[in-house]
Amino acid sequence: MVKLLKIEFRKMHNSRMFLAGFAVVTLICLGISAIELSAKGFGIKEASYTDFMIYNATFVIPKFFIPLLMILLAASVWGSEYANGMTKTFMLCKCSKTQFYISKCLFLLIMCAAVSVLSFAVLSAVSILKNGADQVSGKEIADMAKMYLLSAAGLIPITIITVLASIFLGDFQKSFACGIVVLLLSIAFDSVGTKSFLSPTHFLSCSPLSHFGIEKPEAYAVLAAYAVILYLAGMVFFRKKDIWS
Amino acid sequence: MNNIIEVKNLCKTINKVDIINDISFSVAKGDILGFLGPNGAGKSTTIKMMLGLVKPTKGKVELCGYNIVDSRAEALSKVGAMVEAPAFYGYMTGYQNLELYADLYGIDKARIEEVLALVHLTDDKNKKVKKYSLGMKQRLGIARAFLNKPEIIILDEPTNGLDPVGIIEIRQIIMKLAETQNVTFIICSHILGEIAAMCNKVIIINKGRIVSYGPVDKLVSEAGCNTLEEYYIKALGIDKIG
Ligand SMILES: Nc1ncnc2c1ncn2[C@@H]1O[C@H](COP(=O)(O)OP(=O)(O)O)[C@@H](O)[C@H]1O
Ligand SMILES: [Mg+2]
Repeated sequence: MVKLLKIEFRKMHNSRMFLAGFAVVTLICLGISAIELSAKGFGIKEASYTDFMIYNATFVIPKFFIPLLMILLAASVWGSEYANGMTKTFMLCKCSKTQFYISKCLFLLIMCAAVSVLSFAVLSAVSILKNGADQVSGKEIADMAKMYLLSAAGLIPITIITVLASIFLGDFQKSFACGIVVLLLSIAFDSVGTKSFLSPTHFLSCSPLSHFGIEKPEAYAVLAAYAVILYLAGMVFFRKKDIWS
Repeated sequence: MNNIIEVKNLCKTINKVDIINDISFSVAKGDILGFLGPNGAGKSTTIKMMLGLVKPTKGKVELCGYNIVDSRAEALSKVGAMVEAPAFYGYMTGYQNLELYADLYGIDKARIEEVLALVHLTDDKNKKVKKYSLGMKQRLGIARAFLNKPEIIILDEPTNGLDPVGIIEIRQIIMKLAETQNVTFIICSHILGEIAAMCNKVIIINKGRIVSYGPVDKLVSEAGCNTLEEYYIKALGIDKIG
């Protein structure tokens, strides 16, 4: 299984997809920071590190672009590999379907964490460079790190939804489209108010609520339920599915 | 137990259509079995069920004495296969692609060179696979099937896209492995001459059913035919072509 996981990384490394993905995240973070720092209208120009980080956590970066990247990755790791016959070929190497499924999901989980860590690092760096290191305490950074990690956990449901779509549809375009549709619907639902904690993408933009300690306790349970149920459903369906192409 | 492959009453039904209907056969160690049939007959589907990719609706498959559904890892540990067109990562070189599988099997890197030399790809091993021709990809697929020193090798249309010399080379490799290392082969092909030259047994299937099954020489001579081609046409019930 570790070997299967290593293969995922090696192949990402070879396809330069790692670099491209991380470059995109970095650029987006820098772009948003630039907009924000230059826009006087927001009134946060002099904002502290914490304000800056919280503001960014609710901005489009985590809410749309980072999940978009994860959907892209999930659809290519699952959907397109199924369509082009790589899944079939790996299945012939005596690795079990369960091992195969777990290692791919684990890979995506690591990538969820990685993009969040990256966006956290870039935004932190921008803020610290702007405001000076003496303006930030270690505790503030730790608090914000926790908050960004929570938004990484918020990426899990939408990623596994794309995996499920890939297992059913067995094709890159369709599963990518499916992921996007769910993401957009979910974002729309997010903004409808008090029930937003039920959406699979709630924590992508609402992680600051937990920082202020005003998150509904149910929200965490909903997130965990999404992750566990979707993950197990994917495993069951993948084990049942015939591998044709 | 001298039958290394045992297929019993294999059936596959999709949306109430019987794609594979009650296929049974067995293969002894060292046999080269030709698997013939028109397009859509169910050759690839049968092979996918034998390799545990597709779950049979009914029936069972045993490879080296292990049931493919219950003991998948053991059954596949001595099997190498290429099913339909071989898939590779185009952005990696031929060598890097094989390296992935060598790692998965826990095989020494020297073995990669060995199989690459076997299919004459040593010179192109550092080229990206997307720059390979169809025939080169096919060779790389065959190399991958040989990688884990299997006792059973299953090849689905292995000579697809190969040039005449390539076809002869692959045939020689197959016959040599069967002879010297007692490797068992199942080979799907559309080229009847190919099967006639290599295989000692043949199965002809049509519409998911076995039409005939037995040693090539015996089948051909008993039916009063001169060539496998003649026999094939007779077995499928096609009187005249054109
Ligand atoms: N992915 C699939 N889903 C459902 N049926 C399929 C699929 N692939 C092939 N079939 C059906 O299985 C039958 C046998 O196909 P196949 O085994 O590929 O034939 P062959 O390899 O002998 O040309 C065909 O009737 C085909 O329609
Ligand atoms: Mg076929």
